[in-house]
Amino acid sequence: MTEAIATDPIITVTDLSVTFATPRGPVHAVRGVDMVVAPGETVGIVGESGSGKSTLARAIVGLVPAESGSAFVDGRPVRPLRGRRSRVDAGTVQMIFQDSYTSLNPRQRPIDAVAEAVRVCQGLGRAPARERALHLLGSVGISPAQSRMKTRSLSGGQRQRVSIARALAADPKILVADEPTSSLDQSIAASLLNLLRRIQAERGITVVFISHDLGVVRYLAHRVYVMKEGVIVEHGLTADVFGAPEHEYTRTLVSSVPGVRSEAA
Amino acid sequence: MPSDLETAGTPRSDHDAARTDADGDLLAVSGVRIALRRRSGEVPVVETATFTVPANGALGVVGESGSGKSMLSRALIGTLPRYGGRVTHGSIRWQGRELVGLPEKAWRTIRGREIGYVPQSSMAGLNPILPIGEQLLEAVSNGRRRVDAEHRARVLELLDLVRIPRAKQVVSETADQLSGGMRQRVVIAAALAQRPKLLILDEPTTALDVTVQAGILKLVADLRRELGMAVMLTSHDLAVIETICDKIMTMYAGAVIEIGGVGDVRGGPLHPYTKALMESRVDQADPTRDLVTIPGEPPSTGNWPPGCRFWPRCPVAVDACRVGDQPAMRSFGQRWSACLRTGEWL
Amino acid sequence: MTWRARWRDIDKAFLVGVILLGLIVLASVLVPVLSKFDPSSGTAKPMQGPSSANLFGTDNLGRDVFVRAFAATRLDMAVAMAAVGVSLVVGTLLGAVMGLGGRSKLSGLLSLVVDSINAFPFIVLALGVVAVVGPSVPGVLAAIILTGWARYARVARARAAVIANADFVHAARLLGYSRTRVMIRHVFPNVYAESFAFALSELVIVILAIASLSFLGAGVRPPTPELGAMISEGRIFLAQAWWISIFPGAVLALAALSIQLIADGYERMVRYA
Repeated sequence: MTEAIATDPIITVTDLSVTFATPRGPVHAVRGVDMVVAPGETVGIVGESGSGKSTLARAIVGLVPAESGSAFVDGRPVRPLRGRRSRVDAGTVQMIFQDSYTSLNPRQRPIDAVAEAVRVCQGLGRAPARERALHLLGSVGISPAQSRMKTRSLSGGQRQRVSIARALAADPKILVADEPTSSLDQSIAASLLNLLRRIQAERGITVVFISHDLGVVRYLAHRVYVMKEGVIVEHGLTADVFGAPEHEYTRTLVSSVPGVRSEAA
Repeated sequence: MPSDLETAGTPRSDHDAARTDADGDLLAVSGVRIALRRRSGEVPVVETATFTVPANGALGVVGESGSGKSMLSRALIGTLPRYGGRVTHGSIRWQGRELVGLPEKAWRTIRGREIGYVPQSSMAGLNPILPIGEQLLEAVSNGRRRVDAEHRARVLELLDLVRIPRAKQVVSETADQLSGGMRQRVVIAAALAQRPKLLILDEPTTALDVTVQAGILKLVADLRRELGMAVMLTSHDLAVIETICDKIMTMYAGAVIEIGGVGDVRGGPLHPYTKALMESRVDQADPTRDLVTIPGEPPSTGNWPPGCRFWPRCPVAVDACRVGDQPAMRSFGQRWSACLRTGEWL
Repeated sequence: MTWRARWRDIDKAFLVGVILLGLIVLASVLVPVLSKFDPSSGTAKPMQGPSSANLFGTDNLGRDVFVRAFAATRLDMAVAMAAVGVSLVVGTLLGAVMGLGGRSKLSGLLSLVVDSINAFPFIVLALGVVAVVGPSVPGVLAAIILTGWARYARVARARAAVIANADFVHAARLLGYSRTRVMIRHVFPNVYAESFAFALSELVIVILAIASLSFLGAGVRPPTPELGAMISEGRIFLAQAWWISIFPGAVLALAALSIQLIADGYERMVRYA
């Protein structure tokens, strides 16, 4: 790692590789990735389709097994999910997904989904869990009335907020957000990003933000990793990487985006 | 912004010159209303759409979900019936000829031949099984059985036009063998087969990677210049529109609310929604500050509030905004705005 | 939600089906009870056409066709519901296990069994079972269940495989939910909705299958009234006493139609959900 991290990293990924077996042969989605994340910071992972950024995110969280290499989160090694995830692990890292339609159980109302999470993660009884759930939902901008609506009646932006509330029920130290605003309208996405920033400021959460949208990552992240076809081609402080990109691919990426202002210009 | 993407040079046209109406416009849309048939009845999705597209012009339509911009595109190529929609009021004049109420048979002479269309999803525009060459031949020969050497030559010409390398190989490949960017180029090629005078592109870059987007946008700008055709682009991305369009039109909740030159609107939007949209852009935002947001959510189709559709979320709404119909657009020089208060700050 | 909104949401075909089926079920329950005729024994004059005394006429053994037809409907409905009910529950459960199991040995074995059963035409298999256990009401029931559950399993397996990859299931696992909780509260409720719609459409097939088996002589034994059997028995008298076959046939058709309307309507309502 070339840039200095002030404190002990909360996420350390070393030479991580993830390979999928497909009918067309093995796909090396992630190849030898090194990454560190310091507590409390926001790190962005940018890349286009096929870059492996989502797979990397899922490997860090344990949803996808690593073929080789290692990942340590909060001092403990990441192991692929088998059986029931421990409460400690659940309270360490949670994930927000891209598709607001499939990230919530269509059979559950927001209040049910979040209350269930509170019951399991905090061990509260039915009534106190509901109270806590309503409070959590309120803190992300979902009113009690909206909490009782059928999930399909909510908009994409509202559903993402519910997902955030559910993740917060576990009181995680780290939030991995996999393209949470990609399918949202611009004005709605903006509110969601503000919400994420606020939550991070209030709770001191570490955020790993995956996106193909350079503008969003440039706005949100302190440091950024640029991925292409499974490898990290460049990383560093956001201002440096986008302002004075060193790798050819990063340069192509930055210059392709209509509107992203180069700081060096 | 790369300057070679902006309009430059004189258009060279190798087909019959576009006939424009008295004002020099190819397309003149006036007071158009579109409704969709739903189980509960007919629901309005677009109301008060009024705008023009001059020959060789480039109009960008910006709108979020529920704005009606996709339905508007479909109205311009007569495919509304497929979605259960129809134009209930207003007029759409193409080279002076009225298109509203046109029977499907007449639409076939316009669709593809006069007005080309590139759908958002390149897979939707292509047959997954047929080789690309065959599909382009269909587009070039306009479905006629007899396909001759001239048609084949034209197919290669088209592939060249959209800058697809190794055209002779690509013709025998199928859609899934091509990358997203290549597919989009093929769909554009098909749309250009009959030399339309106006090309409508519905969110052409939304499904594409950023590096591929830039190529497609440049292609569209080049084609506009080389073929002298007009272009109409819909997108939710302001940056995309600013890159190749010279006129921008903002839509909100089924209504057209602002029209103006891209530079003018960017420098000083006349409508509060356009202004809010520009201010909430993440790609221009200051990382040390919170993003500017528009409170609330856009209304769902048909569930529009009385008065100006934007008033519940508008920072400068006054009592007059909350009653009556959606305000009609008023002109301010070369610019139009549907806000009642625009005159105050000009 | 207001009542008017709920009313608008109900598919009209569904409603018609429910009403029609309701009337048929009501008739099949009440008619055998209220009628003075006994379905199994003939006390009236045989081969009499429809009259005010015998609404559907009498058959060759002097039995009232009206009361027989509805007694038969009661039997057919009961057997069909039982067969579909058991197949639905067993098939969906096993199918969900298969879909979630991914590449485990158990899933593989079950899948083999399911695909084998589904490879055969239903009637052929059912006849085979009946040949072994002998024609009778339990025989027919067994035949239909043994051959039917695999179809539900296939539907459930496909759906479970899709659901297992849904983000909300991943989220549940990440939150530390036990596999049981995920299965029961997240996967299963999203699997059975589709299976239930499938079951409703299967109900029609099953009713017709029971009738077909009996028509072929492989089902219910006389003198038990059964719609298919009645149609079969009345075949030879079609010219002189058409009512013996036609009325049971009409009732069968109406019952099947009403259930089909319900199934289609339900599927339409669920689809927009």
